[in-house]
Amino acid sequence: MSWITYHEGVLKILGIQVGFGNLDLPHLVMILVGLGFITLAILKEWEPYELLPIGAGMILANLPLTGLTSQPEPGMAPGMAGVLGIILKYGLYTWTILPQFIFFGIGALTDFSPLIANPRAFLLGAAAQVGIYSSFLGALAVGLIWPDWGFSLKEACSIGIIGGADGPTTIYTTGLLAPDIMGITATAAYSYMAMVAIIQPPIIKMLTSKAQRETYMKPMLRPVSRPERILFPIVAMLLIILIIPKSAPLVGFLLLGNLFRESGVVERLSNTAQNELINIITILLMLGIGASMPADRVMDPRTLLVLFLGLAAFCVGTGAGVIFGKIMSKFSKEPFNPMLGAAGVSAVPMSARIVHHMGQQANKKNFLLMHAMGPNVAGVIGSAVAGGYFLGLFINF
Amino acid sequence: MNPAPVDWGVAFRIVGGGILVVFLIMSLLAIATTIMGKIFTAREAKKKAAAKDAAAKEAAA
Repeated sequence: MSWITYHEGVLKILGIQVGFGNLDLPHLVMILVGLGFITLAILKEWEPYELLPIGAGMILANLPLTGLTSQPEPGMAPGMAGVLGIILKYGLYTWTILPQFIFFGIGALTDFSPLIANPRAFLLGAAAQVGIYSSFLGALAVGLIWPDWGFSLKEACSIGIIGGADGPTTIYTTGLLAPDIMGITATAAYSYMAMVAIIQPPIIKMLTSKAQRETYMKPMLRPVSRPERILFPIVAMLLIILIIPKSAPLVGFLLLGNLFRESGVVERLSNTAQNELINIITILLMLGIGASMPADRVMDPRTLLVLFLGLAAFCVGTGAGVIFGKIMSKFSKEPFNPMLGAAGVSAVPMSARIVHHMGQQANKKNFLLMHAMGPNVAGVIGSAVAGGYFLGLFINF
Repeated sequence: MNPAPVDWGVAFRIVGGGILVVFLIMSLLAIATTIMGKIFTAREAKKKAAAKDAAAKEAAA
């Protein structure tokens, strides 16, 4: 074999079998983005349980020639499907079961007592969903300015739902309506949830006066009895699902998890839902989300628009919550701090903590955490309802 | 990608319907929870009063 033939052979092998030979700029950029997510998760502790596996999934999916994202297909030879491809196909695209089990775990982890003790918080949770619909319209308006980058109705619903600041709802809704943008909408939702402390305070300050932020509220809510806590998920489940049946996969699982928790008779199941189950599903779901972002999809100018519209939805949701809080404070017999409205975007418990922190900054006597948890958990229900409403428009199960 | 032209009438109906449905459901939940709270608070108060009466009777006896 001549020296030249030998080198041609080596180069051929490099081109076909070695990753470096197949690493192009878009994939390299995506790997760097994945590394960025991992850095933020480790150094800044921004939503580490989500952003770290998303970043890892992103890196693994964008490394060339791994076959990790090959999805199983009929007639495929055994072992040819990649693990990330299997997660994507069965967990997210075809069966879409992972977000529901996350909701089940969240339900088992959530204490609805602050909401049951203060039912008007439901309305704040509703008001904050306005952001979803504003970005839905915004996404549709993109086509008026840049016709080539316009979004369809289903994509607009998926973009709007980012404003609910609720990862599983965003993933479930987008997975069914616009799977092509699922990775980016889910990452946007989790990223903005991680940035609540940066996004919300300026909006709250802009919309409230110092006197309004200082409004003192008694720190204690009435104690909620066990029968109430048991009845709440049952009543809420029946009521919501009978009005919007398509919200059942989300609302049903959320409240089922909560019933397990509050019943007090299935402690092992509740503990499993709160710990092992939600942890396992989080690993699978977040790796899948990371893997659903191959370079060709993300390196699209429309991705930037999705990120911008998602952020706008989150900001409008916060603003709408605060404005509704101001309206409620006018009609409230007791002092009512309008900042509580900002906690209506789900982002549990970060936005409740932000409101509490800002309340203490304005008035050291204030202890708003329990008051803010009410709208915060109402927001989870509200965004699941909004997601179910969108699904009801387009999907026939 | 160039999606079909937007029917703004449909879009605004979706928005209107969505906001209405979210507020309707959340209001119904608020009402149901308030009623539930009133019933259980009254029951608790009744229980406490009965226990107090029983304790008073016991003390008198």
